[in-house]
Amino acid sequence: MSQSPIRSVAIVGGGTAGWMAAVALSHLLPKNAARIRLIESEEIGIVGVGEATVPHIRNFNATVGIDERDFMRETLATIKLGIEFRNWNKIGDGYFHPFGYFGRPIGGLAFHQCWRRLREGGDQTDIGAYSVGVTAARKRKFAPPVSDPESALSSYSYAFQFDANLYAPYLRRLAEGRGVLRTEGKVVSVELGGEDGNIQSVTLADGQRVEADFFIDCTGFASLLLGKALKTGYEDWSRWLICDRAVAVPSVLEGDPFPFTRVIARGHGWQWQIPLQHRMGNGHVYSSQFLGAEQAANVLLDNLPGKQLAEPRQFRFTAGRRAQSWAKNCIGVGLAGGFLEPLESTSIYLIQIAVTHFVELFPTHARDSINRAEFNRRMEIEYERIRDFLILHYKATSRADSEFWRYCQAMEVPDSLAYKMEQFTKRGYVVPYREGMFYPPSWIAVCLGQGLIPERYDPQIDRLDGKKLTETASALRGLIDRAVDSLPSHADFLASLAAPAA
Amino acid sequence: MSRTQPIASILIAGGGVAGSLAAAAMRRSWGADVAVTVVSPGRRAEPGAVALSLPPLRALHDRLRIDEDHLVASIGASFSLGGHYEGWRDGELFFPFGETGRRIGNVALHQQWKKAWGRGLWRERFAAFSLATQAALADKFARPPRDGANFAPSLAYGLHLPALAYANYLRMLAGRDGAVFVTGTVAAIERRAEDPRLIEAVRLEDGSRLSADLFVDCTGSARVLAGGRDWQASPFAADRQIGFALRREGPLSPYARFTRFAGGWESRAPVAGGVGVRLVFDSKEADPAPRLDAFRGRIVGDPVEAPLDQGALARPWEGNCIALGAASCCIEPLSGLPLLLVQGGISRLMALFPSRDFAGGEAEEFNRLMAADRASAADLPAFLHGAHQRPALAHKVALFAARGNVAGYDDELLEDYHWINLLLAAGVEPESHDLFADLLGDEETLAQLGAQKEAAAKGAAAMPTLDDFLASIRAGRG
Repeated sequence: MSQSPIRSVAIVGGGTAGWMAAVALSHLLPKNAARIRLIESEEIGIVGVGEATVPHIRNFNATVGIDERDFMRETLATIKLGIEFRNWNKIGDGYFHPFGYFGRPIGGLAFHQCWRRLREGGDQTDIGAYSVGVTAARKRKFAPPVSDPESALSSYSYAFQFDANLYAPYLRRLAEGRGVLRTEGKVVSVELGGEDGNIQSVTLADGQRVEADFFIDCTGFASLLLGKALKTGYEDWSRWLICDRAVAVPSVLEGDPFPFTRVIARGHGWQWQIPLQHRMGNGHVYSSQFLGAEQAANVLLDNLPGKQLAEPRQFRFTAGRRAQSWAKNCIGVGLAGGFLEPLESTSIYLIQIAVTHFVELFPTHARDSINRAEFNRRMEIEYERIRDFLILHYKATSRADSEFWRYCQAMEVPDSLAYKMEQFTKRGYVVPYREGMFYPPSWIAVCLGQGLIPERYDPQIDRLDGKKLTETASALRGLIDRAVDSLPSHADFLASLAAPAA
Repeated sequence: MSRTQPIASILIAGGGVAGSLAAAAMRRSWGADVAVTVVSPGRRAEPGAVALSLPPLRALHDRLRIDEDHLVASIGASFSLGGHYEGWRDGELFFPFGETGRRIGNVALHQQWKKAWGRGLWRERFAAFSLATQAALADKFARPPRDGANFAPSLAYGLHLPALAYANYLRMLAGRDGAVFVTGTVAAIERRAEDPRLIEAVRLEDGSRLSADLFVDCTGSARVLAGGRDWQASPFAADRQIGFALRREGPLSPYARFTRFAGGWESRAPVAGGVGVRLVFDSKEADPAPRLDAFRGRIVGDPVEAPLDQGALARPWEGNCIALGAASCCIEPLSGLPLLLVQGGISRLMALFPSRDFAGGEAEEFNRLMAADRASAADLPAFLHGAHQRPALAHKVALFAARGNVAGYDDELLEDYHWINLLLAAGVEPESHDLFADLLGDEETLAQLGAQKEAAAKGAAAMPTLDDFLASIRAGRG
């Protein structure tokens, strides 16, 4: 065993971030490499309001040994095939952002380029008709994808929607079972010291001092360690992502839960609907520049898909991130490290990726600066990729029915996004990148859905015979329809969870 | 969308490897829809010029439906499993192409190796797992099976292609697909009256005029069409090169040798008929005479000296003219970098093929990608010379030295496994290993390392010599 300079890690804050970090570290760090302790206070609630995720969560679950069916039962989870967007480009329209591909290349050429040519010829078929994920979501169907790449049923992926209030305790049981020590208490002060100004300890309300070699700040928006104690600055992105409030409330689930997250653009923000097995999670994300808290709550309550189950809870936030995700001997995970609105369900992904990078880049010695630099570089890429993708939803819109939407339409966006939008608009070209979130199909789904229809298509598409192209596309739709029809309903799939795995 | 006018004709200036490869690729992709004309002066003798390729060329050859055996047998090419470097960094190293061994569980092999090595449980270098290294150093070669079941991807290979014969082969292929080859020299360029950024036609010395929609400059450092408009010189010092051919001695080796000397380096690339040698040096520092003397008696023909004009066009695509190969970017011909850049340019041009109005944003994206390719390609000479390393490379090396992790960037020519091979071969040993490697017990790690080492040794032992392999190809049994 190589001597680790980190003999003890203190995770400050429970919740989804804290307990995900605890499970991951207790599972991935070598046995006895470091003592892991989590400090949380029952007085402090968790922000979690019914979480939607992206497919990466399944890698996390698999890596830490979580059985998917058990996890779904325990957290009353549903399947998520993607996100349904309503009213985002124009009031009354809609589109899907699925986890998976559209069509398949024809003659070696990208499918969305073929689709663009068909449209030029007058074919108005929605590109979603070429996606198994979208078609299954519309028909409320689900079965896990198959691995045979020849099958249409291999072309999609899935994630979960679950109750975050049940996920944290579920993770806690796993972490405690692996030796994580939980300390109840509220942190009242953070002690810095030594010549490098590292965090030495945190002191709890009862006077107890907890020392550690490394700290993981999971204190949510408070960012008690990374932000307050270490004074790591905050990069404010609210000029691009102007929503700064949310109001959330659960409602009675009417009918079967649908296998996707629904997000509906409103006059000054957007509303989410996340169906769980036992209820519907609802929220309204809005901009306080344009809308008061009470009005925002009314918008939500007037548009609930079922009977209200609790009093609305309000949250405030500022889009952005800590300038460094790792400073001194501390990383910020979850909201303590940054906040991006849940429009693309990326919060849990950011927790997961921070923890995974941290284990991979575990310090080799006490003054390790190279692993820290790499961690910060990777997290910067992750946050900025998601940031740009979120801004796309606001910038690319035809809506001008409120001050809010007129601001969004007119705002200047980061160069990195402006360039991607320009390339897509000109000829449907998706600027490729290797690092960070969102593959080309996601860019295609959202760009097209938001009304960025390429002015032209790849001229190579004209090599294809027009009549044959129409036939191939029609056959593909038929194939997808039949494949999806063969799947069980999402409701039947959920019912099968209760039974032992086949 | 107003219907855009398609490109109907392409004129390629330069009939060397870059121009011929571009012509073959265009004709294969576009068939009769696009007329391709190649203008080149008479063939220049370039004794001993051998183009080195890296494994990705195989995919392009597949697309062009080149029968590799036929190509190799026809032009006297040979195979390469990597490069042998002497006098660089830590003395001597072998840099194999392709991934070394296999991951163990979910963890990279080199992490498991480092764990065992660091604990004193394993005493052999990482190269012991490299089938390519083991085979190459024994002068053996076999092509990995197409299905990749056994050796691949650990046996990715490149080619040593006699440049003139390779260009002629591609020319024949492109000609069969309908490309037209014209012998001549461009004397003047006519620009479009309505938009002088666009070339209308070229006039040749014999007075003939050739117009086209799209122009491709493959004339090397002459840059006959592109000119020197925004040439940016490279910081690397080597500015001259001398090429010549050697008579063959001894068995054929499946790798090139790159040997450093004061003020420069020389490459020796074995092919079926001999060895192509190139001296690359800084004319202010190095005297090539003693190097040439060392080869006296084995040199066939006369050595040819030429400038090495290192640098690049900031915008290789301007208007309707695209520079490819050395016309676009001239870099020290280490490993297979120049041909890799040519191939990258061709595949990018195909992916971003424009319409006649050039208004689809293609040039901007092409230039962005080529700039990234150049920066990434320069990482290899920068690392080997230990000079002119960009911050991204310095970070990559330092991060690897900590815990064996590879910092990945968006646009890179070399794969992560190339860096793992190269850094370990060059003696950049990580201080520690990835903690994920500890999820496997030491005993299990040792058993797996042992099995992989044995597989590499056995795999190499079972291969024929490269000479025998080439003989079997010539006999049609490859």
